[in-house]
Amino acid sequence: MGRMHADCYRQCDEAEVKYVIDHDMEKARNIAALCGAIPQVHPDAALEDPKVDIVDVCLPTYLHRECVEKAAHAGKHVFCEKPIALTPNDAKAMTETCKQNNVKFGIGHVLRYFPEYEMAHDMITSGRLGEIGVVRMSRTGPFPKGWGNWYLDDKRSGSLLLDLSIHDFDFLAWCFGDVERVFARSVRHDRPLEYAVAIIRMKCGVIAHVEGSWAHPAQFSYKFEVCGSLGMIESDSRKTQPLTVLTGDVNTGKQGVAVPESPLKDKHPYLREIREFLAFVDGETIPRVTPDDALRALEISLAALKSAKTEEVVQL
Amino acid sequence: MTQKGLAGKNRIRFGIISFAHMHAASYARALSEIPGAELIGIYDDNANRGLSAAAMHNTDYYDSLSDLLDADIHAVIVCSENIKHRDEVIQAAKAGKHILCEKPIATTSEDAIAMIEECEREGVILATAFPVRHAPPVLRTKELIDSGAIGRVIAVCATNHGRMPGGWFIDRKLSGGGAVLDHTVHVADLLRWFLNDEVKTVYAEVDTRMHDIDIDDCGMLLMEFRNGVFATLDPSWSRPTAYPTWGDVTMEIVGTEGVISLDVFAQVLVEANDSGPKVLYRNWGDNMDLLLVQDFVYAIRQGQKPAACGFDGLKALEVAIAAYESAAKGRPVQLNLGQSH
Repeated sequence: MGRMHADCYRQCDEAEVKYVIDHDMEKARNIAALCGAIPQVHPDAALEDPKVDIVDVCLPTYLHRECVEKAAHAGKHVFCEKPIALTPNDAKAMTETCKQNNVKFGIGHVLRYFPEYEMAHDMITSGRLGEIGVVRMSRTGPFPKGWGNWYLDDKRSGSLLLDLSIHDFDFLAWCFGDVERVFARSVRHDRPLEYAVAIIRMKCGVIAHVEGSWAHPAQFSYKFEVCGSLGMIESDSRKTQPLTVLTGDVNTGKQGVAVPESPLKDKHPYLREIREFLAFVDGETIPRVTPDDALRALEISLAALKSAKTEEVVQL
Repeated sequence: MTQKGLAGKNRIRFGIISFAHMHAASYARALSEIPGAELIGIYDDNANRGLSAAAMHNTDYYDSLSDLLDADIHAVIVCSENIKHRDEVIQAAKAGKHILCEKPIATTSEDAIAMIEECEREGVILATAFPVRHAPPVLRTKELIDSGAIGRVIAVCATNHGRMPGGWFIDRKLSGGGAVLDHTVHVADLLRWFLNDEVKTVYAEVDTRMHDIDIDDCGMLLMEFRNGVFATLDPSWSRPTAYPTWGDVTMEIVGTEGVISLDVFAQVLVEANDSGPKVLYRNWGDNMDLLLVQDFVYAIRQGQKPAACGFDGLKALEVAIAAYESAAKGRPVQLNLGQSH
């Protein structure tokens, strides 16, 4: 995600990336070259540099708190990748530290900036679909690769329900408010793969189903449907790719990997997320995702994890 | 073989009990297409409905069930309101007729068990109408699972969406339940068959949220099987009439070595016509109702078990009943695991 954020800052006239920090110098160099920054293996130089206004944290989740607090203490505004942290305690402490140091704190729940999700949110809240009955959210793809295989370790990633499904939990909370109860199941296999489902009853009565998969040997895809008393909407990323690159051998028909794309310019979700945070730092606006929203999404994830573990219904 | 290729005396002669369920018309057409099957008459407690169905399908109307059962028939297809299945099936069994009963087989386990036992006593076949089992994409899925194409199945995410059907379907006294009863039985049956296992626990949310009716129109189930596989099902009547098709049956079947994405009714062409109100999906896949009736005729002829028998109807019904119980209690419910077949 660091590479994506660096590329977004590069596209913003109002910002420039001064340092790219990674414990792997090779990686730091590669990304720094993209945006004309100085590669570093340690954050101290950046934190001590008075010209640095913002620290953007794309570390594995278990390292978020330490880094965010360090940056806040250094007087830097902080933008932190989702999930905010692995525990509500950490999330609250990070938020409090930023407040005490008078720095702005943003969380990258980027799904709210995906145009189809934003459009769905607006249609739902406008009442256009009537009273909402059932919502289905789904996010499926291969098992993610990360530094030191941190996704395999619950203590570092929090597992699928915390790392992946939290996108959809946050969307549900954005549209429908608080969760009443959750019932979930998850399964793992040493391939590795992980698959989880959660049935959620929102306080407003909406019934939601959330599917998350790191068991699909295919390009990441995401879909949702929202059904109400007046109408329904559905969206499937596999059906909304305006272009696909096909390569391979035309004589034998043997196909290479088909690469579908959905290019966006002003509506690019990561760019919009970064721009909104930059505007927040400038004091213009409040971003659509607050640390409290991130905490609420984390609490839903933790409730789902608890349900999957105990096989019981968890009330929030 | 030509149409009606078998001599008349070798044909399996059918009666249809009630046209309350819309599938009756489809089964009647199937009987007219299957060589060796013949529709002799229709009984319906609603005379208008029975008379017009008889006229439509070029057969006789009977205003008494006993008279239809006294006619020279071998088998009946029961398409009455769910609540009436029990008495009609038992009466037909006592008359020695083989029976294909529309799903859900009944509205209570006790009724279903009474029907199964009566049919066993009388030595007649009791089949449950689970047409989706016969859809070629479903048969192919079963074959792929059994061949180990995706390794061991570990989880399933299923939907069986539909439109709110109205009529007696939303009258609890006649239907016994709403969307959750109507749609859970189809998918519970497919899952039992695919996994060769029984449901151990059911958790469900059930509600009425999208229509002004006195019966459930939406829900969400999580079933756990004895072997630890879990499956979710969305059985909601959540499709607006403006949607291009009636609904769906879909499954994401996750295995240790891969995933099968099944969309049973995906074989459609898309029609947009200025003379019609909207865009429509027109299905060009096989007619699963025809395949279902063919299987039943074959079972009678060969004296074999049909694809789905009364017991399968009972096991699927138990899942739906457990879903209502779970929703009422707000916790997962254990199913009775004592029975096996």
